[in-house]
Amino acid sequence: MGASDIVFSAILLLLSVLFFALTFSFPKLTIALSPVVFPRFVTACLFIFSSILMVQGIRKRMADRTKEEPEKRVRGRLDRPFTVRFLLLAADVLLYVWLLEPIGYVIATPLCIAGVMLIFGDRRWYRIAPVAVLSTVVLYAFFRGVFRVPLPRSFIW
Amino acid sequence: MDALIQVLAYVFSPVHFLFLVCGTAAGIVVGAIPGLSGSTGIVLILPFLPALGPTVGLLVMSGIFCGSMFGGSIASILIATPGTPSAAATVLDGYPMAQRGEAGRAIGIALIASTIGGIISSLCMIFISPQLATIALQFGPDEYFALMVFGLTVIASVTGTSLVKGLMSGFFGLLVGLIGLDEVSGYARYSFGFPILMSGLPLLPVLIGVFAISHVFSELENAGKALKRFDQKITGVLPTWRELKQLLPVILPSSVLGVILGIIPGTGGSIASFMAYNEAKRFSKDPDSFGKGNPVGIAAPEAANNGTTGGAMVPMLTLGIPGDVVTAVMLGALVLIGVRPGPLLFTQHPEIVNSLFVGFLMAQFIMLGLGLATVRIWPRVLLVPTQVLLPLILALCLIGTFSSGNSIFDLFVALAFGVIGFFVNKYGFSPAALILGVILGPLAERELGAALIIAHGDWAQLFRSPLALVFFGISLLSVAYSMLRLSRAKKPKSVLPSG
Repeated sequence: MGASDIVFSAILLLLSVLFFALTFSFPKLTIALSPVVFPRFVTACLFIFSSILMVQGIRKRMADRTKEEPEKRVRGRLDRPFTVRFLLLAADVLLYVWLLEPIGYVIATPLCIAGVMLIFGDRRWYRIAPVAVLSTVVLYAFFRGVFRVPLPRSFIW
Repeated sequence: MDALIQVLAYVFSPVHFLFLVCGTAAGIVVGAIPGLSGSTGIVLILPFLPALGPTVGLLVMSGIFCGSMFGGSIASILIATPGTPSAAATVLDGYPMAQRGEAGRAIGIALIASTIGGIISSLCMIFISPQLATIALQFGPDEYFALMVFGLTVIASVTGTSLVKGLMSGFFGLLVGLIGLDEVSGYARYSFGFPILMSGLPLLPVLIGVFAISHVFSELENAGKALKRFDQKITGVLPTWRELKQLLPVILPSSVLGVILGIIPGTGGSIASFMAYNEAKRFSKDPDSFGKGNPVGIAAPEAANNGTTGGAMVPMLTLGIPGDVVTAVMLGALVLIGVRPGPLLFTQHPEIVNSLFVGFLMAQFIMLGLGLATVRIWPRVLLVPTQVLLPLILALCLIGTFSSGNSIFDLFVALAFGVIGFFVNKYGFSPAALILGVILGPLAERELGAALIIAHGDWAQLFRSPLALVFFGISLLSVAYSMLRLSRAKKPKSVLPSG
């Protein structure tokens, strides 16, 4: 997991530096606990631990290279089909979130559920269609009918 | 006495009792489905909590918590895949027993052991919690701050695959918790000019993302794989009195071990079940029969994992520090509906605490009743295809998130934390520490601010209280222990799975 450790530690290092730098724009108040103190402590600690993980990751990666154990380096990586499915699922949900208000719950939800079923490998339309429609109706009845949640309406409902 | 009668009348009122039964049944179902766990089940009911109220909400959550512990054993026994991380040890002897055609007997032993473990842990929670709360009532802001440092450090140290990753998860959670208005000065930190960020990131979408949506992403790795099937008939569930007498000497100490480990923050069912299994094997006259379908190998871990439930509730209720992942989610749920767990809960909302005590104990008997009456039904959930189940869970998560605040922004937050939660689980970081950081961050800063105001800005005051020093000391010890443990292990392995 050396490579992933390096990537994640780099992301969190950048995040900690950015959030630490932003504390300089906070007002300096002469109260017992100024609003800059806790954020600086948290970001400094995050920076330190991210640096440690980065060093560990680099050392692990170098050790793996010298041992020449390619199968070990591959472990923990995401394979290509999984990555594609992962991105498709994220895109499906993102699209749903984007379209929920413009096209309404009743249209957006069965499309989203059908999309997720397809991404999970279901290809049987006679299962996808009833599951997508029925679950939309049941969820609507539950949230709208029982809990009185105003779900986004579409032009048909 | 009047209070007890009131509580009994409340819990046993038909509607509340039905909620408890539904919670326990839902717990068995989510526990039985590999990939889901008690924390996922609790997260899925979070959107309904405001409508249910804190008392009923806690009853339902207790039912899910206890039910999921037994539910996890069903998949372990029938298809050798633990339904929950806590049921991993049950596979060792449960599956060989099922292979011998004794699946019903194995499930029966798991059910009885889980029930006894749960009853013992409920009683311990009922007797220990008020005593601990009385002590905790004397805490000042400095002790509270030290306690929160302790809780976060211990959980970060013992969860995840490495100490550094655990601590990073906790500090990332703290950073997320910093977004929004500072309670002391009223300044909006890290809001980047967006008014929606001034109140901070909403907790419910964060919880749903980290503990539910992330699981849907994780399950993509199994997409297209055939379901594991079982062909055993579930018969002869109820153990004989003679068998029960043989198992009791194992069930009772395992339950107590579970309670003790449950009380220690950051441990939880998976550690307890493996420790109980090892102890049962160590004290057995026939250790070679373990792993080959020995009933003791089922009874010990099942008693221990349900034993942790009541134990884990003790620090959560009395100190506001969760004992494991599920109670970390419960802590978030309570904060979400405006109830802050801690000693004041016992004085300000005794009705909530008392109902929880009675409901938690009752959940064990309901679990036993449901388990015996419908034992042939629960394994059927293993036959539900993931292509159907997971899209439904995702839809429930998204609509639930939307319903909590009628906000599209909440859905973006849930999706973002679903992706973050996936990477946190996948690469050995700690979701429990992350969530604890999000929840405890603002509380810890508030207590620190209050302590400094009382001490007129003197930081040394934080280290003058003996109790605070004890908490800081234990925090350092937990970090040192974790470093020692990891340096001894050549290949670090996860001690506490994320679920």
